Amino acid sequence: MLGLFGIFSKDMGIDLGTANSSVYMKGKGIIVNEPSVVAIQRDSGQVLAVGEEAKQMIGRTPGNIVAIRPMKDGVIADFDTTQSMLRYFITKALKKRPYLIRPRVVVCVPSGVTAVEERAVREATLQAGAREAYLIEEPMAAAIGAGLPVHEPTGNMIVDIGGGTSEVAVISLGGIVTSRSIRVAGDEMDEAIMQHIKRTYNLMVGERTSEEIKIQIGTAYPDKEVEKYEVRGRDLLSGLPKTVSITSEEVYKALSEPVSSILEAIKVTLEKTPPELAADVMDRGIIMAGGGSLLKGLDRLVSEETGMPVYVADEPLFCVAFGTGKVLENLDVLKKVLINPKKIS
Amino acid sequence: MSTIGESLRNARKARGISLEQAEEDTKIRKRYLQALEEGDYDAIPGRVYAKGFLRNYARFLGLNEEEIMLEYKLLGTPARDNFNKENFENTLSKRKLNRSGRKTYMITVIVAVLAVITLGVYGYIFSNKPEVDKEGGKGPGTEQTDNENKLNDQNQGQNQNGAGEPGTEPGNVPENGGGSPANESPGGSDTPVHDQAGVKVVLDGIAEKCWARVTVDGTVIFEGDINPGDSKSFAGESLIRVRLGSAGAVEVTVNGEKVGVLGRMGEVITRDFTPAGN
Repeated sequence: MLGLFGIFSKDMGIDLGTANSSVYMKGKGIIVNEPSVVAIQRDSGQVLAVGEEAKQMIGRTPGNIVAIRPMKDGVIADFDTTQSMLRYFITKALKKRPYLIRPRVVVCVPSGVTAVEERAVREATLQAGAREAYLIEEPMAAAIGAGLPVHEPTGNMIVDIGGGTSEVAVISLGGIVTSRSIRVAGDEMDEAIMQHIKRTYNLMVGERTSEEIKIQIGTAYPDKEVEKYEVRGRDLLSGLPKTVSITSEEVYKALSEPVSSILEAIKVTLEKTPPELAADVMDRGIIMAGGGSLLKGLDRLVSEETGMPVYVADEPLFCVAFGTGKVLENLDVLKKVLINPKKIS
Repeated sequence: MSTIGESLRNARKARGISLEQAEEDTKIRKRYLQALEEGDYDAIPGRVYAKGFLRNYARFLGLNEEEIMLEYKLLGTPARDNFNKENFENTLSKRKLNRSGRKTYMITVIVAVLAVITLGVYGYIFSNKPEVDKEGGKGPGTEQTDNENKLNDQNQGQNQNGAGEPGTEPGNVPENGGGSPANESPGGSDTPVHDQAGVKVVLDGIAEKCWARVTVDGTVIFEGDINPGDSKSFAGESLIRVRLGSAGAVEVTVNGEKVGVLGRMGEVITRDFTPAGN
């Protein structure tokens, strides 16, 4: 009977990220890629908007509407909201067709999650309309998505810098040998930029603006060319809107703290890695994935600090989603890379 | 062989960088750099790494990395030794065809199975109703056909005997009353020819007390209960009408032939018996 389901069932892989979530549909590729934001009517608890639409509302909502990011540090912070967000993504992926046969879903979780957090993701996925929910560790999904030969008996190092968590893992023979997950990633960088502007210019900027600054002129490696960016915000002293111009050099300094945390995580992971695998990694280098790896100069910095070649994967933003998709398409073969592949339904 | 490799090597030489120095700066092992320059991508562990090495090296040499990457993509994965493009394409298209064929095949099978199931369900629903009806009238129905068969047999025999008295037929019809006059009338008319004179009915009580009324040739000669174990026999010339209060409780023997019970317990039934057996 399962085989019969398989023909009609639309299976999907979901990268449930802190900042962005993407849905990979079997045989179709990435069909949904939206921010993990939900706008909620505060008094009735009704969901007003999800995704891109809701992101526009962040920091611009009136009193009775809140735009929240239900995921924090890679795990579920608000169960009900996460569930409605997942349902939205699943329904959107299925193009609002009433699903007779519910999809099988592979969802990724950070590598260091507790059993409670893991269960929360599983439950939320099932309640959002999945027939079966499989969990996969994020670095594993990223490695598969980047196309690393994970099943070979050689060490591969992957660094996945997402919105909420940065994952560093050494993978060999389809399993994670050593890994480290830190809750410092893209969001933390935004926060650092925000704090810097507040301290030096007495200017309040929102999350969206600081993210924009990071994407436009953020750099992890001191560049010769200095870029400028106009920032609009609210002056803390006068309380009036103000525009200041900041340089990439400043942003580099502001970002040095979160970036050094990530570097530290990579170093710690390398320290824990068995020598044989460390030699492999030394030989082949480190692959970076996730939106955070797009930060200018980050690969160069890591390369210099560790003395290893570092490269950013193709389409780093979607590595994890691709990985979940590949797992879905070869669910039987890749089952062993999943966490606790048991069926709850 | 490889234009990518050549352009890499030329760029490196133009800048006056040795492989060792390039290794130092890019952190990529010398043998991999060499492999890149020679276009020997098999030496590099995996396509991802090949891409990564190439991108970093191109960037280091100040080449246009996008262009190089595009060229590498066009190059595709290195071909195997005994790779035959034509064969490959043939098998590929065949497999594609097979796959779509398999899918339609599967769908056809599923539709067929569904159709069969639907038909089965409908059949079951509709076949149920007549069955209920049949059960209600089963006893008498089968009995009657049995009797009719017998009648026909006898008729055939009688016809052979040369029953040439159709003239009496109309006279017997009103006497027969109910039942099947068309069939019975010849039986009645044949009475004189039949070696058994008249009609004999024996009622044997078997299961429970049963009310019965027996009318022989138009006159009621018995009306009362037949107890289990009781046996009553009646004889008449042309017609014995038996009415039973509980058909299942009485076994009937007509003209020495066991007819058995005529119906179910508690069923009220009226039956006519003639010398021909019914």
